[in-house]
Amino acid sequence: MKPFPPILRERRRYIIFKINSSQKFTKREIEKALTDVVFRTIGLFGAVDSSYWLVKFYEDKQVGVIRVTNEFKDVLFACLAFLEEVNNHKVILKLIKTTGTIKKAEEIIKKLNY
Amino acid sequence: MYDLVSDKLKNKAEEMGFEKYFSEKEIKIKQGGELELNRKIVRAKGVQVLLNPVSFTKEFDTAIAQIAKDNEVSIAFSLNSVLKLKGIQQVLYLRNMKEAVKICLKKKNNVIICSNAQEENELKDINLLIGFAMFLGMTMPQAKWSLNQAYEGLI
Repeated sequence: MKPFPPILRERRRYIIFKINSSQKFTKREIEKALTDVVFRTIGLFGAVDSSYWLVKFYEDKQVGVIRVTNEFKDVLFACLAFLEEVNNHKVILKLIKTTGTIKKAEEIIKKLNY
Repeated sequence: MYDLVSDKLKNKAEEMGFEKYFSEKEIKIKQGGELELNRKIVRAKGVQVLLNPVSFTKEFDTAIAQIAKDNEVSIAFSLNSVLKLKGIQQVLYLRNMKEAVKICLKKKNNVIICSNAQEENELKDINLLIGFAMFLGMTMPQAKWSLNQAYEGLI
């Protein structure tokens, strides 16, 4: 099969974030909260176009990585501004870094001292 | 980068990546809302910031924007005011806020985007506020200006 030409391939960004809260959350809880907020703000079509995905969530550090297309990066930031609660607990969301590769994102998370 | 928050949260600025948090004690801020109130605030002497000059109905027009510019009053829009609302009220409020921002940008007013957090869990990251500013119709340089240079005239 002929490979997808690079010009048509979507460019991705990996957003590293940290959840500050008195409660510790699981990946599933974060995923649910993220889906709720994205659907509430940009809807189904926006969610499809942005192709967002919670790639990883380290439950010990409460740090995660969201994948999104580069065009929708700022839209996702606006969505995340509306994220107040996870599993009925108030949270503060802090964005650490945006990278172009998952490998780089993992390296940054390893260096974090939380 | 700066932000407007409650006085008790001022020491949290570095934690969230901001240079400094401003409170109502340092800057003369007046909460807007209705059309007549907005007009009174921008005409009053000594007021530096008109906060949230919008409501569910259209309460902000070019006349107020022009008076605010002449009297050097900055117009601030807070994320917290949007988050407190739910359902159709949030939709109407955001729509009016977007229109107000459009007018402010056209009239070249000093626009401030802030979190206006009253509690610790209402604090927002810089990038989230930039994203919110861009959602309101600003470009990236305008969004960054609204969090940085827009405060310089108030200090």
